[in-house]
Amino acid sequence: MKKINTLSDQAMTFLLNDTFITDSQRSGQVLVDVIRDQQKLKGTTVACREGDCGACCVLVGDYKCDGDIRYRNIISCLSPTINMHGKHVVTIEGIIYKSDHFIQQAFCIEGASQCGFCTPGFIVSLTCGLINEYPTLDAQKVISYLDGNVCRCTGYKSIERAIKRICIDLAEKADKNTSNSSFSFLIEQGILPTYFSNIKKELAKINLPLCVQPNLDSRQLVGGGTDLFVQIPDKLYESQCLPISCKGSEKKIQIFSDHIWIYADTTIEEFKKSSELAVYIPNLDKLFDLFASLPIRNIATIGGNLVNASPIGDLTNLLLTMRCICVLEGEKGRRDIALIDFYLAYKKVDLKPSEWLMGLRIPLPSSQAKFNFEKISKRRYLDIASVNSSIQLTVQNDHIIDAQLSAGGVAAIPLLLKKTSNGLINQPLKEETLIGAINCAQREISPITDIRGTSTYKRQALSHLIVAHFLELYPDKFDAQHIANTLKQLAASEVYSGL
Amino acid sequence: MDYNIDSNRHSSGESLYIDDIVVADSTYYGWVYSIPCAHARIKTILIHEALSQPGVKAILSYKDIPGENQIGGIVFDEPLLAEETVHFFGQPLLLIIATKLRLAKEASRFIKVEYESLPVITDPRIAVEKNELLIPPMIFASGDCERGFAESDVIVSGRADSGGQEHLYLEPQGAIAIPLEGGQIKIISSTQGPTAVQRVCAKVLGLPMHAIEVEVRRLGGGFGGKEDQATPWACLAALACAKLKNPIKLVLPRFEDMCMTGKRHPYSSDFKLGLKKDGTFHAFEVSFYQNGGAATDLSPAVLSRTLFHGANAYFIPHTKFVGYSARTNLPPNTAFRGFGGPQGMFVMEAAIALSAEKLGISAATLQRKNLLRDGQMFHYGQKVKNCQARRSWEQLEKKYDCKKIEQEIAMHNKKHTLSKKGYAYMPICFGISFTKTSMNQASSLVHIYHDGSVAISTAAVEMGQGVNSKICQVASEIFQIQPKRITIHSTNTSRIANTSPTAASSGADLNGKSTERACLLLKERLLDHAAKILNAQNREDISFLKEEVLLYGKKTELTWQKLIEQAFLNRINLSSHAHYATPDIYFDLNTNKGEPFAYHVYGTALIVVSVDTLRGLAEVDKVYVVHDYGQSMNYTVDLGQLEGGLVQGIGWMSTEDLRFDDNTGRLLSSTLSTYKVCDLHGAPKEILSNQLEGSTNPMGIFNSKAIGEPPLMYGIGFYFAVRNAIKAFRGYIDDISICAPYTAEKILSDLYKPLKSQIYART
Repeated sequence: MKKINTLSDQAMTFLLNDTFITDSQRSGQVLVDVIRDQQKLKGTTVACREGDCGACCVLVGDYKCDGDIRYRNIISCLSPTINMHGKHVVTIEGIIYKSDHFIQQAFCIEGASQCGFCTPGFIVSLTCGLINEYPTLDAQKVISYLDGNVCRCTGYKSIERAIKRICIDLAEKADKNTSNSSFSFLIEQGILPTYFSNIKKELAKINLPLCVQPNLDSRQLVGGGTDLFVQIPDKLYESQCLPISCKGSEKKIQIFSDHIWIYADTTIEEFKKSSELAVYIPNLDKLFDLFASLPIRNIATIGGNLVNASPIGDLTNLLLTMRCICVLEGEKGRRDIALIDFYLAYKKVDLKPSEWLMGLRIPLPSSQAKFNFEKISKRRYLDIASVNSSIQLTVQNDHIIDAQLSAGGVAAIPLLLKKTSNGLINQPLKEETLIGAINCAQREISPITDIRGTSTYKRQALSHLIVAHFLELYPDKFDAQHIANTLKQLAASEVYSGL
Repeated sequence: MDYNIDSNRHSSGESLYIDDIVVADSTYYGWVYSIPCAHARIKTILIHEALSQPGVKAILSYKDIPGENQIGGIVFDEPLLAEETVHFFGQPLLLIIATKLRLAKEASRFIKVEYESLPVITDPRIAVEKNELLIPPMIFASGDCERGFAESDVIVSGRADSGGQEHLYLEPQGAIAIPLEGGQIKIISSTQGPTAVQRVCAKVLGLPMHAIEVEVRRLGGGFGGKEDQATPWACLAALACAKLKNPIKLVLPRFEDMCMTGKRHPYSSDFKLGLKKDGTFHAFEVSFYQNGGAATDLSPAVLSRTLFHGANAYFIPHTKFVGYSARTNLPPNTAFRGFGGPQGMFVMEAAIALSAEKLGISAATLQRKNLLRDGQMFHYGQKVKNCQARRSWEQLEKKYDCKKIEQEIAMHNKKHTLSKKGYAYMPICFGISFTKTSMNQASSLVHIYHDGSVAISTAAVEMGQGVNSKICQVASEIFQIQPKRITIHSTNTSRIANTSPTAASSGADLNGKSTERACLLLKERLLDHAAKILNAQNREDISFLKEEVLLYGKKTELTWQKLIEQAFLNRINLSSHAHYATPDIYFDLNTNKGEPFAYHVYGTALIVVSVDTLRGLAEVDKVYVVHDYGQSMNYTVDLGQLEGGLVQGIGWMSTEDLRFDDNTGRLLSSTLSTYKVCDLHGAPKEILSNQLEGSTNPMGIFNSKAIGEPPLMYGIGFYFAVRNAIKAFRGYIDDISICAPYTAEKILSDLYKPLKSQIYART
């Protein structure tokens, strides 16, 4: 089993562009402050400090399991610097290293930069896409790396055009290129500076820390930091924080004969892209496009997300339908607790001060089980859900033989709708079954009116998401027109009034 | 030249914004303190505990202001720091100065304020009922509305509401104040209005304006939010700077920026439209209830533009627009791209939508029929000239085969239940000029250095809109030199005095024209000198072309470089300053009639949306636009303004849901996680746009037309496109109120809103 790391703050070392930084500052200081205030690199800008704009995006390179370096784009405003130990951090200054850089030219020609405040963040994310999408360099795929970058000036179309211009040009050259590393290709094309070819060697100079047991008494355990640094940045700055990330050769997601094991420091993006999980949830990658944004998913951890206990968490929502067990480790050893029992009250979890969540155990889903995840939010992407819902459904001969249905945003804690789920079992794939489930669900939930919607809206939205699950998984079994009329009738009744 | 001259610096991260400027190590940082209450009488303020916190240097209140505690621009009703009462949630009460921002913030926790809460008003209609008006009601009228309605065959009335909008410039508000000798202060500010900052700082500090120098390099976005509302932060920094004789930096964190600053005005309006049987608009009456917030700020000017644009691009012989600017307990609302125009046009389009539904014809038929024509009269007394309303509509129809698009949408809706499409046309007509005539002036200072390089200073502030690129083009074109020889210097009140804010889409016109004049003055001198060197009879024999000096159209030994060297040695004045004031515009504030606009910008958009009728989610499939750029002088820049404005307008109509707590006046959507602007996925999947052919504009710089604001209003089409998609699902729409933005919640609720018959069946 992997163990958590404790780093002495003095040892905190990372490569910033082409320079080693040994940072003896506070472990709770966020990366962007080190970059801007200490290192005086001002190209990385700060617009929100809540991970919602991407202006502060930087590239982070670290070792993959196979020993290669992989690069991800992350937001630096919520990342504790201590999480950068042993990694390569690249800012805009480390990418646009010469005048008349090809990316600069494309942005200029297409007018992809107006006020310029967000531009470095976009270019960092774009570069991440170029590195990872080599050699196909499909423009649409590269553009998807920018889903956490907000621009208030351009309306995005010129940025898309610039990226298409870059991708088309590079893809043409990539075809002819015999080299098989994206780095050597991008260096050759002048996209990346030459120091990128030495990173593996350079990073090897940093001593990676020993693995020791955490002492949680005085320290705040932090995963990616994407929630905690929004909520209590000042407190974290004052205290010492302890990262749950560590370098290990073990795979973070492992399949055993009867269960799946997921380490708590698995990032959401690793979860999303997991080929192991894709066997059971083939559409997982696509479904989780709606989870935050790539630069957040790249650092936010499964452990941090579950312990944060948001009643509207997308991940919790899905895991609840998987009969997930949380494995907690503490002074007195390990204990298991079902995820469904982990949540006690609003933002309160069954976790003693000395305990930490080390991983998850998920029973292997049956090969017939199908999953779906639905989310309604004000903005489709990079938004917190008003209501979300997941389902695990097993159907034989048009009859439901197993169902696990969850709902978020409709109670103080994330809910598994037990009664509704049980009620679905043995029911036929028919509209009446859905209506029964909707009616039952209404009695299991207790949404409140807040900034994300009125309670009536949340009740109605959940009902529609229940229908959406079935229409997504079994589109041919239902008459859309008829269902629409039934939903209209439901809306005219008092079922969403909460009475 | 067809690019933004700042682009390369932006892409490399070199461009400097306020927070990037290197300051002295001794600099102190400011934290603005407010109480969590929207309306309160202050009883006691205890600061001694906070003062003794580490790093704290001072805590300033209104009592520390040496001059006037007054920052109001139009009406003097806004204190810099609250005195006995607080009128909105987030109103600055104290300024904490410490050696580090973090320490100033930390100290704020030790301040104790006792106050008595007073009743809070957030609804402009309630405010008007209670006679809480910022200014007397404003009336624009033409013809005889009473007669107009009597002559109408159909009268449609209703109510339309539009929400506010947070600017969300990516760079937050901020300023740095640096003490100079003799009590003078230099302020580096992220402002659209350097002179406003200078004037108000001088007033607050009790100094003459010449004691304050305001410097602006660029803004990380403005959109109107830094026209008047960059001023308080600059004043606060200057106040502390004057007090402590030390550099002060004050940059608002995002949350404070969102809570403390005003936004686009929410409006609630009652309208009545009278039509002839054939669909001709005959009379239109609207009462606009503008939510002005706690102080006047720019509300009167915004309201007047609502009234100017109340009929959008249509001719209506009888109109009456009444505007009420309501005082509420929200942050003082302010300029935002469109400046009240969008709110006026939204009501017009709402009236058209309702009329079309009532008459059972398409809104497009009504819109097209009533578009403005040359020779007609705007309701404010200006004659319609050089009108492009019909031409842009027609070019759109032809270019994009709109009939076919409409048919495809009808086909889609026939086939699908859980996905419905909707479309709406959105023609625009937007007047260009500050409606306050005196503001239509600018000046430029052009230096030619004796190495042949050129530096230009103007009143314009670069905030991403590309005004500096256009100014550079003016000089490059006139001097016939490469753009790289030219630099556009910062906007600085010591170099250019008495600037109007960069606003009203007028930056390129006014400053381009003043630059043109300054360059022409220099060019005359240079031509004269070249004529002398080349022994030509007169300056008309000389011309410049691509860095060369021509005589009778033929190359000579003289180049730009050589000519400048010679001119300098011969003591020719290589600097010039010129001023431009838009000619022939005037407006009579007693009658509300006149010729307020230099010209109008036209265009038409067709917006197509898809609504997921199960989940209640809308997305924009395509937007087709034909826009009247005049003769665009920098199409890359102008297209960027078109697309960016359009998407911002769609944001206003869709996800940008500005919410205040009605009881406490607290902003609920105060973070980026609760206030959602368009992201990459939320933008239209495709924007197809085209320049209107054959439009020219002698009133604009190089025959171009202003571009900053008008495209935003195309976004209004989103609202009515969604409404039409909902109609396609429900079959019936008359019972659904018109209230923007069309959020996911409202879409789902409207899609499944019980028809009246169903409600009766239930009870």
